[in-house]
Amino acid sequence: MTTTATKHVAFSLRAWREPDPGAAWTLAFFRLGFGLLMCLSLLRFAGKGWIYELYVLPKVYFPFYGFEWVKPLPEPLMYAAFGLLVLFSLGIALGFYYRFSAVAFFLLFTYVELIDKTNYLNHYYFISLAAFLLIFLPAHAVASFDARAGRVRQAVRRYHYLALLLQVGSVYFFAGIAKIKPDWLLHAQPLRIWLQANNDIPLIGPLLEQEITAYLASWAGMLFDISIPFLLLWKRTRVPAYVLVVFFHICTGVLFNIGMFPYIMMFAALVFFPQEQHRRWLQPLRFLWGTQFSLPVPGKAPVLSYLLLPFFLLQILLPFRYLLYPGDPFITEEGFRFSWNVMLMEKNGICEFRVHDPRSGRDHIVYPSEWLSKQQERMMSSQPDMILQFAHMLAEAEKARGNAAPEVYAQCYVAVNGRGSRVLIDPHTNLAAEKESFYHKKWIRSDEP
Amino acid sequence: MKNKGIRSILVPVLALAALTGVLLVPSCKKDCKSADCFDRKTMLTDIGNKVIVPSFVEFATASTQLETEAQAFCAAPDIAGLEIVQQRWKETAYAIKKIELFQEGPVKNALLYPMIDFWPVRTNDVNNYLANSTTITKQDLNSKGSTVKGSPVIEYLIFDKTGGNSAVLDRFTTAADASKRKDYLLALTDLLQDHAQQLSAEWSGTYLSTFTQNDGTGISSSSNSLVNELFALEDYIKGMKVGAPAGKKDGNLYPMNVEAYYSSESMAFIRVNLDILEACFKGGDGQGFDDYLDFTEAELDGVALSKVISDQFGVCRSKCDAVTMPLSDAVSQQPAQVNELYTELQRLLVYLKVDMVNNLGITITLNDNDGD
Repeated sequence: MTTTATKHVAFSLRAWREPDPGAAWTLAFFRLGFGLLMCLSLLRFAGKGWIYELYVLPKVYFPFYGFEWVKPLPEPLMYAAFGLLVLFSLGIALGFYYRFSAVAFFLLFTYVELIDKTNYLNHYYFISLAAFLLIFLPAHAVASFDARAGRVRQAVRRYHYLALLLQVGSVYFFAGIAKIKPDWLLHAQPLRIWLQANNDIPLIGPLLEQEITAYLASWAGMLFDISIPFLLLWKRTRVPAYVLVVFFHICTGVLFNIGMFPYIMMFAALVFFPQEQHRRWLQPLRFLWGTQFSLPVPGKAPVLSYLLLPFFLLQILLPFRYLLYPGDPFITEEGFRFSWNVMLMEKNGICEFRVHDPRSGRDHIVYPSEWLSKQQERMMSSQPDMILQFAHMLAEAEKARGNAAPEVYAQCYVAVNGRGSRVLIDPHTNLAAEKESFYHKKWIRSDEP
Repeated sequence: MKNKGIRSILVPVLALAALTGVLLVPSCKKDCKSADCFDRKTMLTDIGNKVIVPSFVEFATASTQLETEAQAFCAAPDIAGLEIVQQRWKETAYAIKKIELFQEGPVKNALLYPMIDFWPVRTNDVNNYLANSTTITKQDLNSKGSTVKGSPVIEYLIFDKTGGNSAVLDRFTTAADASKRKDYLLALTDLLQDHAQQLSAEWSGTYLSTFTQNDGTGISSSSNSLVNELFALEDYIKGMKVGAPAGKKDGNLYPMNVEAYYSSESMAFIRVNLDILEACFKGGDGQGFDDYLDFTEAELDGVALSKVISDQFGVCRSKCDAVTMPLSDAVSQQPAQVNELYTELQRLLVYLKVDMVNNLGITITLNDNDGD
């Protein structure tokens, strides 16, 4: 028999701590697919030479505020870290020492992501969140080596199920909310730029260069993102909604350079299908684990589970923190990361730095390309917090050369979504004297052109 | 029930995937002539036929004439012959300042650019090579590193900033190593001519169609390479050709580090660079990035971006004209004019690297890491 997720969710909200044996299949299904996709993504990452390119080759890195102590490991250990990540992802997939694998995967993956802002992607953020959530979910209760060996002690409860659906659904929902911005809805940007750049695709190419196509796609994308979690929940719309999910992600995958993200989301959206469906999908693998699982007797819910409340609360609040800052969030990028601002900007910048020695009164120009990888330079050139970090690196280097109080000035121009280049950083602000903080950076020229 | 459940999902999903696949398979290309659509292939064809290939052909022709005149000069060195060689060298070097823009493809594949145009000349390397070689042949020279060959070394041998042409002529006639110096000049011009022929043949041959067929906007597309080349050269002119000798790097002037120091052709080289940048931007008299930008309706403060960029080329050229002496002297004697040139080159770079790239949606990095 099939329980509709809608009923289930409504019921779960009332009795969120009740045991939910059926949900064990949904969790196991997600665990298996997530682990395998992670394994594949990591191998692809390594295969493209990105471990070397992003974590070995650069001379300097841009850690996150508060995580400046996070440094890359020496080259062999960096490769070893990715090797371990592959093992942990398989541990998650197979439910083999699952809990340990989930903790280790979350810590190691998040560590790698914290090394350098340059490589920040919303989908890496999603992976960190999902991995953190998996730590709290007994996703190995069925269809796992742990279950076969009787190593599972925590019962599956409704809030586990709810948390998973919430996590997947919120990616779409918040990405939809983030699209409610003038550039996206009123100017169809950056889709106008990106779609016309793909006008050589046969048959639909001529469509892509029409302005109306960009407007339709922008509005449709916003409505899709906001509504899809609900359409997937409701039994009557679920299958067409999922067809739409596949269509949407294939389109974005073909048009844009977004790697594994479409596949991860196409898979993740399947959690909205009935629990019974997940049990059936796992049936072909029963030779691995057998069919009988003695579910653990539900005791008290672990106290640690309450951590999920602040975990989700934070996720709900972070996307709106940009409202606390003055100026255009696309220009300042204050409160921009961790907010599901997915594919909202075509932003390009150029930056050169003037280092001033107040004793001699002499200046010299630093071109970032001498210090940074192309990717780092590209990201730094348009993101104020990275510009500040780089200015501090230059100041430190200058101090090491004996200039006790160097001044660093940035000459920086950016263009966002076809709006024309403008000065990004106040050229008269000595960035060496400015501190990083969560306060608004007054030296960003966010209003006047 | 079990089958129905799966089928109800699989069938539409597969149908849609197939449909999407059919739509996206790169097969036929559309034909585009009207003003409200834009065909990158036409643009690439125009840039290839009207700008790139002629530059390489010019390089091949000029370097052949240079070799011929170098042979005539070495057979009977005199001032008139030297002046002809100098003239032919300038023509060759101007052609090199054009192909300097087109590093992707044959030039990069054969790692030839440093062999053709390594500067500033490492005079110690050149003098040591001349002193330590018993005989100098093209084969021997070919086996050596880029610091002892190419156009700047020829320039160093045939120009003398202080002694003038009579001092140069003495080195080719009465000096103890005159014979070896003649062999060196012949080997240099011969080898340069070989490189020019090779590149010209490749661009005129199969590579042109490789180039025009690669008409997408991805990381390895021709449009992307060209855009990267446009602002890479512009950046290089600003930073290395003007900025570095003018003391932007560390506050010290480096007049010897201008390009073409011995022939005082630095400003002429920069003008040729700017001309070829503009020609590439405009696709000669055909379709270019200016038309592409017009198609995207790109604007800056209400003015068509294509016009803004075109005008800025003019501004840079007039700032070049304001520098009325060799750049090596101007860095100390006309610092204000040099600085203005630097500023306008920087502005042009912003228009190309920030505004143009932003409106074309072209990835400006060669790293193909995923976007978000």
